[in-house]
Amino acid sequence: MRGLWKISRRYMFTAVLATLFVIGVNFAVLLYWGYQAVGEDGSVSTNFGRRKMNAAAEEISLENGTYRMSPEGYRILGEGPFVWAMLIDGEGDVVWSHQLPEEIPLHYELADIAVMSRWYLKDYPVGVWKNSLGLMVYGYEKDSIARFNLISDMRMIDSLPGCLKGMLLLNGLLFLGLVLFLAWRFYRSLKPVEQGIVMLSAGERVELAERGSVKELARRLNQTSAALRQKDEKLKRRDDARTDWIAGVSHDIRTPLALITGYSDELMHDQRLSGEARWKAEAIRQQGLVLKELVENLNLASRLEYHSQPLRKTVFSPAEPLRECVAEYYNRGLRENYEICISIREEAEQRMICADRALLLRLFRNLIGNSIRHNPEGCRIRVSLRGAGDRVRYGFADSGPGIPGEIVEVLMGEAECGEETGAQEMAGQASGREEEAGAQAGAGQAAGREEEAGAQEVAGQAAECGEARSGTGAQPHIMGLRIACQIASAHGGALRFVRREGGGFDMEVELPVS
Amino acid sequence: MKLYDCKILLVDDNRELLAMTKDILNRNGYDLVVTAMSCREAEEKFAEESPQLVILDIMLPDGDGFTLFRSLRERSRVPILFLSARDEDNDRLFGLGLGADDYVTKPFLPQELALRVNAILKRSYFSGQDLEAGETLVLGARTVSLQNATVEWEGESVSLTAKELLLLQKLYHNRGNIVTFDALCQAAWNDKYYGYENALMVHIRHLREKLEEDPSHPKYLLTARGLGYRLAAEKAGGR
Repeated sequence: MRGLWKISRRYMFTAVLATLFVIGVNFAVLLYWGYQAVGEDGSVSTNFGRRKMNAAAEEISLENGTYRMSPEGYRILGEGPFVWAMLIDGEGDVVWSHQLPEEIPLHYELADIAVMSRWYLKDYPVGVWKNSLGLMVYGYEKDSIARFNLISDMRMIDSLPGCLKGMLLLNGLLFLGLVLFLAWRFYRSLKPVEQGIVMLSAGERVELAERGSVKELARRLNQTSAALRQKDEKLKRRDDARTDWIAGVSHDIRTPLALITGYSDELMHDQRLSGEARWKAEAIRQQGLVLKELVENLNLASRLEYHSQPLRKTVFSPAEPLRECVAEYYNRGLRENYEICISIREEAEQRMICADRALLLRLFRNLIGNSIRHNPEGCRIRVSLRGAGDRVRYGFADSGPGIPGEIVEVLMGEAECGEETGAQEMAGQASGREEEAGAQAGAGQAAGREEEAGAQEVAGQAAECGEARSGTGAQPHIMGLRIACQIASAHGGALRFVRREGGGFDMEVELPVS
Repeated sequence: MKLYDCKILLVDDNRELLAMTKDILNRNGYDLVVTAMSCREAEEKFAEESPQLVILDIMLPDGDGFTLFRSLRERSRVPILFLSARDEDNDRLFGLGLGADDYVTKPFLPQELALRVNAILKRSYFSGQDLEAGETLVLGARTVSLQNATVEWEGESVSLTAKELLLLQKLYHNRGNIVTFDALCQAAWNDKYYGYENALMVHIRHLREKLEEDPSHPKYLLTARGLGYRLAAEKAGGR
């Protein structure tokens, strides 16, 4: 309805403007014409030369029983617009004439005078002017002047102002009605087009009926929709192919990897081998497991990236998978130089979230695993959960140096290039939080961290977003964080990096409550 | 029949992996391992050998493991474990949804496979025997009978309440591991943790009073701060 009102207003505005313009132009033309019609002496040429009639009538005189026209009178008559003239005396006889055509009679009765003064004389339009000598009659050229005789009822003339007002009002209403009707018709014809555009922007299929005044527009919209769909399908096919390809590669890698880890594990436990050989076998096994994780991450990242990972959402307490994840680390045998402290606020304990539990566990594992991997000398990891409005906030901080700024930059750079830009938020805003600042007690253990160099390398690749995606694939560490980012945004949440006072970043995951 | 007398049918199209997996099972005590490299061969061996467990790959040269699974299940309730290179959740859920007893993705650690095979065989063939023998838990001087829900020491005896027993069973089945508050509440009350914080604490205290010699300094029923509780692992393991 707002659209209709807008269109009507515009219609009305345009119509009023157009009307005023036409009236104005007409008025100007009339004025100009009127001005042109006024003679130099001020007399209106079409006004039958009333001044001239008067002037000429004054120039005739009776001298010694003869009517004479002065030369000035002849000059006036010569200028026109009259073609002939005559003077009729009180008896009805023509006593003086000038260029009188033959068919004009020389004697007139009273009735003839009455008729002539009102209509024509032998088809000549005539003008009459009374002077002291009689009645001057001026003849115009035949067919040069039309004469009308207007008779009006006085009452009608009296009621004219009222009538005019009524007419104006009626015209106004008619005008308004017409504008509204036209606007409504225009609105109605545009409505499907508008809907089509809304659907198009929402990525839906548009199939408008191609008829009426917007036929061409509808046809174009339909064409655009079809073209967009075609493009979408092509992109989807390409994404699917990529996901399938990655899934295929990861599948094919798994069997040889199973042999590598299986046999290296066997060698590692073979007491007949020397200590060094067993240590080497353990290294192979360990790297096999790293490869396994990498393959899994690669697969999951590609499925999350191209939205082919279905979310199996269930409703559960946000604290529950966090406890499970931390307990899992301890149950699998966390080395003694690591400690994971967990603190869950009561308000968070009360809430429920709707999420894919397995993916959420993966997210927590990635973040805690990240702290463990990057602090080989051991560290204290603080995991927290609290409520924040209609969200819950998981915090992950460790006593190590934190995540280097370069890695954060790479991830943020990707987020800006990605479709879900809104989901990831730059942590700069969150810097200077006292509670997180406390976690950096053990900062400064950065010695021997090879991944810092790796991160810079990755940062270099991130110069172009497209390259950053493919280029960082070689970094298992950053892949884990990227997956964490993807999982958070797939749930309508966000992974944030919180800057510590001494540099380095902690992580925060925010998820909406159900 | 003993656990390690169980016959295992191993189906995989990769010869090397088949050899390695067979080797792993042999080293873990399972001497009777039959192998097959295709669906057809698996069907034949299954009919000939009547194995107690089947380990199935999903991608096979003449068909897929899911179809073979259905075909085997039509004939027998033998436990089946999928060992697949496909880690897609869909496959995992589909496999487990079909009624598979477990789903292990490649690559796997030998110990992991052996433990899972053990667990499936115990669950499928030996769970009744355990119960008959009566599961007893020895904690220092005290002996807990999970069957009778009693704790005995030095001629004294005390009973466990139903909830205490449920909690202790849960801890016992995960002995040595932390069991989260959530898992304990699920086991005892079939509900989430929120609202049961105090109840859980009270029940654990009562359990400690019954199990521990010094309940304020527990040696067996240990607290994992912020996470849950843990029943201390046995000092000397069996096999």
